[in-house]
Amino acid sequence: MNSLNRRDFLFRSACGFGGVALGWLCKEEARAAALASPYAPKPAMFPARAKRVIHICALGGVSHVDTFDYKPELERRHGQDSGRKFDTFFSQPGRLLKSPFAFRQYGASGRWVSDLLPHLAGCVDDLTFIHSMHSKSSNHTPATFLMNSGFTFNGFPSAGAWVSYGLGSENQNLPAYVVLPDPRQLPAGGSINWTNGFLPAVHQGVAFRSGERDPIPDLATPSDISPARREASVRLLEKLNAADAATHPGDSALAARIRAYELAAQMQLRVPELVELSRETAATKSAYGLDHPNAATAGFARNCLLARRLSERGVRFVQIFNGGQFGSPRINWDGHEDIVENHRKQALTMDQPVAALLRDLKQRGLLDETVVLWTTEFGRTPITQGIDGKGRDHHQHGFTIWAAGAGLKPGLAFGATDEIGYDAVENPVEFYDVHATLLRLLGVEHTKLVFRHNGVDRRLTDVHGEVIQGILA
Amino acid sequence: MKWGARMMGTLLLVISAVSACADVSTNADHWAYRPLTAPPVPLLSAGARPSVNPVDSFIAAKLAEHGLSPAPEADRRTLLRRVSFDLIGLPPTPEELRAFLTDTSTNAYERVVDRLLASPRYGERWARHWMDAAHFAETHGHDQDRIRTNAWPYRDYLIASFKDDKPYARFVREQVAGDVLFPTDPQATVALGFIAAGPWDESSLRDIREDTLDRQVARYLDRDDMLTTVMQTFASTTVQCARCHDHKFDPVSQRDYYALQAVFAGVDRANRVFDADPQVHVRRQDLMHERRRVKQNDRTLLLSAETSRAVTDWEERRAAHPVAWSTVDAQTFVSVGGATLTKQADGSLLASGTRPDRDTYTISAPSPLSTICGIRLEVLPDASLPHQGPGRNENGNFHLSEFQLLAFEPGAKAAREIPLANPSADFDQQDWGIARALDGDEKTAWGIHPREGEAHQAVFELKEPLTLTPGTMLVFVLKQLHGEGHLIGRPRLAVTDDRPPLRVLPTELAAIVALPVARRTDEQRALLAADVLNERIRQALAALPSPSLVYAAANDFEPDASLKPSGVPRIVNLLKRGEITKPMEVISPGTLSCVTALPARFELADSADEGARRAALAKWLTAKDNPLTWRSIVNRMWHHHFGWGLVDTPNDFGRMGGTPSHPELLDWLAVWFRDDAKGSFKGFHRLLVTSATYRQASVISKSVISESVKQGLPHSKALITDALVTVSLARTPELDSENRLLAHMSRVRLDAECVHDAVLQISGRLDLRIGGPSDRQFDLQPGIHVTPRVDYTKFEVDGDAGRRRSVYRFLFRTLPDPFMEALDCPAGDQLTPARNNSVTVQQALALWNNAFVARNAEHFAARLEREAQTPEARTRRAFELAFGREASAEEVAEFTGHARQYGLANCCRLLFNANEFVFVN
Repeated sequence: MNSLNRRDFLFRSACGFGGVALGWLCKEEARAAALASPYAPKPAMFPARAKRVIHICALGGVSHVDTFDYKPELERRHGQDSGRKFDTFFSQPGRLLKSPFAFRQYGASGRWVSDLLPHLAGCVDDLTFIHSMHSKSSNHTPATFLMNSGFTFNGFPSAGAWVSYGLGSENQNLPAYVVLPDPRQLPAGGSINWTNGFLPAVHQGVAFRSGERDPIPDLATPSDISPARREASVRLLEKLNAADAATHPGDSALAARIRAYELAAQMQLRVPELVELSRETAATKSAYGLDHPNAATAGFARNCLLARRLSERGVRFVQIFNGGQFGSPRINWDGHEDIVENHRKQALTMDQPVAALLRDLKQRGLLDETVVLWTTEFGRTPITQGIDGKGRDHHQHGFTIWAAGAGLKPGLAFGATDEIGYDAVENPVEFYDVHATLLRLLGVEHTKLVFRHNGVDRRLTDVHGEVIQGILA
Repeated sequence: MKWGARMMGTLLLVISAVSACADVSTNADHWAYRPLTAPPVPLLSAGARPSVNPVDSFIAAKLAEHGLSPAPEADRRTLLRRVSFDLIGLPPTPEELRAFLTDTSTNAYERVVDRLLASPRYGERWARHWMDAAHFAETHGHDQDRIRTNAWPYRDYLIASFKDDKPYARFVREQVAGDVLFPTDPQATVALGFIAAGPWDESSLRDIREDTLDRQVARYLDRDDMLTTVMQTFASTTVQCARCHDHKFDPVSQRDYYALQAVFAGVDRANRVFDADPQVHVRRQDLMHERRRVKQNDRTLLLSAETSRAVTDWEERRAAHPVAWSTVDAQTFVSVGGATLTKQADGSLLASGTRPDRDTYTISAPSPLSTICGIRLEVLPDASLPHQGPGRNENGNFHLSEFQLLAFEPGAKAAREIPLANPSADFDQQDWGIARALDGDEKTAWGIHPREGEAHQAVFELKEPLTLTPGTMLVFVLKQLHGEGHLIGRPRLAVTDDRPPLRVLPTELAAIVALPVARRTDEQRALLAADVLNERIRQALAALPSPSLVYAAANDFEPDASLKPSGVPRIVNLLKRGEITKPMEVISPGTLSCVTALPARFELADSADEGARRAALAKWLTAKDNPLTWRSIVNRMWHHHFGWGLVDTPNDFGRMGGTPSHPELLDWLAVWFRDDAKGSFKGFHRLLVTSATYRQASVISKSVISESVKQGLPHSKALITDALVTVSLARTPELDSENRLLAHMSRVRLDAECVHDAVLQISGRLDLRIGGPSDRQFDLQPGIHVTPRVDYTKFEVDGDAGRRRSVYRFLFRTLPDPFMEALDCPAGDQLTPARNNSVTVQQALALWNNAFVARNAEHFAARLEREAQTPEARTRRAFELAFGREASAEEVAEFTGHARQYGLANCCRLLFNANEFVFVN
């Protein structure tokens, strides 16, 4: 017996219903959980501060110095040479550019926000800013993968998949990890952004197709199959499968497969009800901006409202993308050519819906048990792209993200960049640290959430990651 | 060892990682690095069932140690379905089943095995396993997921290699260094698709500036994927863990890692030229090799006596036959831009007056010759032009965007274009060479800066000699579209009937030719020799039939943006902590030091020869004394037959990997495969699938249950008291949860390809055409950036592209087919030695509602209607086809009733969803 390695026997025997690599999870519990549902909730390691996550990904690189990181020194030195070496991505470095947007302090906390984001400015007392972000890449896709999975390469499980794997879900009739892509287009790399990687397939993010009644592929029964026919088929299949299972008593895979069909049937009922917004009040819809004349804003608003409905129903991890594929015409925050034109357009799609989501969660008491995380893959240069340019290039050395909700110190500004917003100089933070902190809020120690793959104990935080104690309440 | 204890051990190892760091002397004693010797086959005690297959002796001995005995042999139906899916990936037909059931010969099963191994379907099935291991897909992945049009020949290479039972050592050598070790076999070059099979970061390796750190990082990471693929697949070693520091658990130093980086320092992933005809292949590869030597300024070649003779011959021929040019007498000459062209006494045309930004000259003339083989365009200086010309731009330059020749024959309605080839010029401006005037791209052009103020000439050959009917007018079109008045100031045209080559010599070479041979420096001799050889190579290559391309590891390929061949291998430094900003010493090529029987650093005669580096690694991998390779492959094969390997981590034999369940059997198999089977896969399959172990039933044997009861283990009670309770087999773990001891066969879910191909076969739709470009089972539209939009729902399931085996599906790395993905088909972004075997809601939804299943269920129903007459007979036929068994009387009644009420296709869809279809016993 000693020679046998049963480290992950459950993963195999229960056909991918995970849990086994969670060191703290008792075997019996794991077995019971695996048989009950692939998304069965699993116990946390520490008392969890948060039950759920809503992750808003603003793609393209949001300029920190034009949104949340106010730099008076840039105004003073506007038009001057930066005196710094920029390893710019595409262009020749230009000169320092003051923000073309007006900054003001807001709320009791007095946090600075530019006039790009008037709605979010009203929420600053609920936000926890990290102004000292640093990324390993200044190339969109690697940086986006890093933000979502902890690796610059594609094919590693995203944070949502890890959370689904580690904690399951509170709702067994919906997926544990739901993705709401930008209504304009999928991000670059498509579904790789919410991949389960080497984790069991059940933990893959389920992307909802925007604005459709059947947001999940193959969810709807083909139209030529009547409900009666479908029902009769399900019953006959159950009978056939039961007879087959009798010949193999104790085979959990057979049982799990029978259960999967039951879940599928539940999902067929629950998802259309979930995406049906007619019972939301006109005031709610309007607050989010579902009636906004800009189609991109209205579509994104719908996703924000859906995010609340998903969270409300116990979905563990909801990811909302603001921004689609890279390239031209720009449908994300990649303001190379003209920061005013680009960021105004993007802010218009994002500001009101996200602010409404925060207020709605708060009003319903959901913000106390939900972490809302807002990230972008990197910031933008404090200099122009090219001499006399109007845009800003990619910048990985210092930028801003924020979080709100359960377990965080509200109204806090953590870390800082230098006087022109170039380097993160105070309490620098990497995405590994953000992931470690996110897991900690959910009651999971990031170094112990592991999955063995090709001979390596893989983690969301690779071999890095420190919990950012300074932002925890 | 209990599972919890193992976890604890793992944690301790992590914590003490620094102190545990690579003490080679102790780690080298790890089982995987020990020399291979065949252990004796265990002698079974009296009472055990006699076995003729050594595999069974090893398995039975271990079972006996644990008080277990094997399960009985599976029935023939089960056995045939199992071995058919296993070896060819398809279910047996009812006819094959009937033949097997009625075959009374003692070797009926062995004959089935031979039939399956001889089937072309076998190669398709096992190639797909290898594609998983290599993370093969047909797009780059990353953000710019561009299509690799020429990736598929490697897939066909794999299919053929398995079909032909290529010995394993040769198979390995071909995929690492086939071009070097088997230069006369074109397929050995195609095999290099293995090294290039994984993702490639186009934006970082082709598009961004070459001087960025991102580019440098990307090169190291690109090689990291190559060496990881090679070392995990062939040697089951996680060498990539030593990129930033010495491996924390295995005896792999950072130096070993960077030595492997150096092995691949001369190759990129690119379209590589090969020829299906071996003779042509060899000829072309020799020519390309010579061209590389010329490019690298190899003086032993350029200054050799043989080359000198070739140069002398060439000079003599050239002197004896100077090209005779006849100036054409232009009759009409038009400037579209409104410039004035005036014919001069020497036959040239001088431009004056209006100087437009862009212009096109159209010049017509009768031919002075009855046959023409080439054209010369002279651009002459003139005092009236800026800086004496020959261009009209302020600096005297011009840009000829495109040059065309047309022939207007008497009586013809329109002029016809005459194809031109082999442009040459006496001087090319950097990046504005003469070839750009003939590339069909009006954005590129020929120029002569900074050599303004002097005459220049360009020569174009006709692809075929042109014989002119009397009265034919030649029409010359000179497009000059660059802008800013980059126009030719004084052109003159001439034609010749001399046969090619007509090439005009660059001025600097003409100057060398003008010198007496004795007065030429070595530098000058080399320059001239390089030109003569290049021209000779170019002509020889042009005479060969057009080549094929395979996306593979390559060191000689057409540049694409800033992706260019490295020429000599790139320098590899050891990177401190893996950081590009901390390069340490230069590392030379080599491999793992822990295989002590073999030298770890390669002694290579020529450090510039990148192929020699890969050849050395290929030889190291396939050496008889490399225990990793031989253990690795038999374990990988075992995994596919039994559900998991004797070591359950096929890509990791290190200390953090699995421990062999049957170490003696593993070694016995490795030695047997290497020495007795001579690396024959088919021999190995035959050994395993004819074993009694493989032929066991998949039900849990009574001995497992009774032994569990004896040991007071909980699961067995549950099994006995309530056999229908959905208790996991995992409840047997106290005894053997994973069935690693093989007291019975494991029941497995069909993989994605088996489901897909079985649906097609059962529906009567399977198209067995072999090979060629992949079937694109999606709607393809351009995306905003490089990655296209791919819509699988818009694919016409009934079309021809939807009927072949799934190994021929086009594999999109970042946009995989959701149906196949739901069934755990990997997307090619990670090495996948073992697939997940998951059961998910998405999978249930896909099998229930996906159009592929729905449409093929209709085809299945149509087939039943064709092949059976009564509703009951159709039900019986359906069960036969889908499950390989007869339907019970009750099932016939029930399904016939269901079909009557809801349609036969609905029944068929249901059968495709049944556990009995989706699992193999």
